[in-house]
Amino acid sequence: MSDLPQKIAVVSNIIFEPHFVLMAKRYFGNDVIVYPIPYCEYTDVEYQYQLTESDMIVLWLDFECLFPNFYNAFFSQTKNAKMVIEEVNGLFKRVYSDLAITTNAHIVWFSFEDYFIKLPTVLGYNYNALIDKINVDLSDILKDKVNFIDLKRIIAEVGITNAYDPKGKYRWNAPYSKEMIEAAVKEVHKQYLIEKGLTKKCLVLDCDNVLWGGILSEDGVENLKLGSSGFGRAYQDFQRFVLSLYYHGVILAICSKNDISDVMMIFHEHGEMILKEEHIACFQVNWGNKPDNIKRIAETLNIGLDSMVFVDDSPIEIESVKAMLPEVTTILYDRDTMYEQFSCFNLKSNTSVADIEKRNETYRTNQSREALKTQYDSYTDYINALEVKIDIHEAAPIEFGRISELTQRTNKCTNGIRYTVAEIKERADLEDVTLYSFSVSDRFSDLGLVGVIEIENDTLTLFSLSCRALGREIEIKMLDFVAGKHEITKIDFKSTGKNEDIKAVLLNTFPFCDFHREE
Amino acid sequence: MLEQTNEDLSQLGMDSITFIHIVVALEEAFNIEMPDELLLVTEMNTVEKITNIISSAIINAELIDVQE
Repeated sequence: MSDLPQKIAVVSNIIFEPHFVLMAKRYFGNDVIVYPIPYCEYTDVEYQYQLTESDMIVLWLDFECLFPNFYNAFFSQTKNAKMVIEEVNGLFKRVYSDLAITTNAHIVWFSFEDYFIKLPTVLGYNYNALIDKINVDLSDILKDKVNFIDLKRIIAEVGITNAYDPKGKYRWNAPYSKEMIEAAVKEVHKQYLIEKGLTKKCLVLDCDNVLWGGILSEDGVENLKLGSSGFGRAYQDFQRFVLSLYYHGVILAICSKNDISDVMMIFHEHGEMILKEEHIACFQVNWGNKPDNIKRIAETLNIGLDSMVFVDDSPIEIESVKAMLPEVTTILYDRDTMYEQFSCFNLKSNTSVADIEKRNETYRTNQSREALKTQYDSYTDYINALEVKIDIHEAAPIEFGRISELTQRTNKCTNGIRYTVAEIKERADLEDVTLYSFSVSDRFSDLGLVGVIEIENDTLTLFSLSCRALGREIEIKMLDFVAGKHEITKIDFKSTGKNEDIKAVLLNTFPFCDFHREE
Repeated sequence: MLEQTNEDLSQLGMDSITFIHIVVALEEAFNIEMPDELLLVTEMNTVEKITNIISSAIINAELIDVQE
C-alpha cells in the first residue's frame, strides 16, 4: 500500500508547472505520477478515471481566479459577504460530494488566501475577515473528511514577497513561485506521512539544560532555571512543546545522569514543571552510559531503536549515542533552531487522550507486573496471577481510528499489513470480510484495544497486536478464537524486518496454511 | 524521434503543460527571456521556430548589454 508509486491528482483552476512535478519527484520519488486536472473539467470521463486511479488528491482552488470581482462587488455593496460565502460553501459541498463518490483517496484541500491583494498599501492592514470567514466555514464542512491546509500559513513561511511569480501568472496562469510550490509539495508530503503513520514514536529526554537550566547534582534544586520568565522561560516553553507531543501520541522517556530520587523530587514537587511523572512512560536515571540506558528504554517499552529520538544538550552524549546506536535519531538541544528537527515526528491531529493515557498507564504499571513475575516460578502461574481478561467482538466503526493506528504503529506482532482509516471502512463493508477487535485488561490496568484480526473468506488478511500486550500469551488466544470460528487456509504476510517471531506463531497455529507473501 | 526541424511538435505530444516545461527550461538554460507574444504553442511548434526565437532573444539580450 505505501510502497507503490504514488499517483497524485491535482485539481485546480491554476497551473503549478513546471515546478510541481519536479518537486513531487523530489519528495515522493522518481516514480510518482502527477495528474494535473483542470477544475472546470474534472467531471470529464478522462479526468474521472485519473481521480479514481489516484492515491492522493490535492485540491487547490485559487480565489482570485474563481471570483476576480469579489472584492469590488463587496466594496460597491451590490453583494454582501454573506451571499458570497453561501455561494462558495454550496460550491464546495458539491465538489466534495463529487469527489467522495468517485474515490476513496486521501484528499488534501488547500484553504483560500488573501495575501495576493495589493490594497494594504493604500488601506493599511485593517483586518478584513472575508476570506477567513470562508475558510472557517469550509473547515467546518470538510473537517474529519479531508486534510484542510492553512495556505496562508505556508505563504507566511515562504514570505509574501517570495511566494508569487507575476511573470508566470500572466503568461500561463501560474501565479505562485517555485519556492512557494516547493513549500506546498513539502506539506502534501507531510500529510502523506501523517496519514500513513510513518513517524518516530518515542522521545527520550535528557534533563539538565534540556528540561531545566543548570545541572541538578551540581547547582542544587534552588538554583535550577525553570519558570515563566527570565532564563527559565525557554526551558518551560520546551516542556510545553514536549507535552503537546505527548497529547498527540508521542511516548516520553527520561534518560539522565543523576540520582533518581533527585529527579523524581523535581517531577513531583517543583512548581514550574510542566511535565509530570504521569506523562513519562519510562525513567532511566543513573550514572551509567546513555546508549545502554536508551537500549534499556527500548527493551522496556518494546519499541524499536529506529522509532526513537534522543534530545541532549551535550554534543559528546549525542555523538556517543550516534556511534553506538546509529538507528536512533539524535537532536542536539538548541533553544532556537532545534524545533525544525522534530519534523521526524508526523503526528495526527485528532488523537484520543483517553487512549494515550491508557497506553501510558500500561507502561507505568509494567513495573508492578515485573515485580509480580519474580514471585512466580512458572510462567503459566504468573499469567494466571495477572488475571488477564480479553474482550473480543466484531469491530465497531468507532474503533476504526484506533485499529488503523495499531496496524500502522506495530512492527513486531503484525503480519505486515497496514491500513488507513479509509481502507478499513471500505473493507469492513465487504460481505466476505470480518474484522475482530481484542481489548485486554489485567490486574494492574486496562490496556484498551490492543489487537485486531481480519478474515476474508478463508484468508487471514490482518493480524496486529500492540507490543504493550505481549507477555500474556494473548496472540495465542486471539488465533485460537479465530481458528474456532473460521476455516483458514491462507495467510497474508509481509515482512517488516521484525515480524519473524509472529510468523512462527502463525505457522504453529495454522500448520497447513498457504503463506501468501507480499514482497 | 525528430526527423526534420520543421516537424510539428504538438503532433508529437507537446501539450500545454509540456510547453511550459520546455519554455522555462530553455529560458533558464540560455539565460534569456522569450517575448510574451510568442508564447503560444502555434508560434513555437517546430524546432526551427524555437531556435529562431532563442537566437533573437540572445541577440536582444546582448544589444541591451551593449547599450547599458
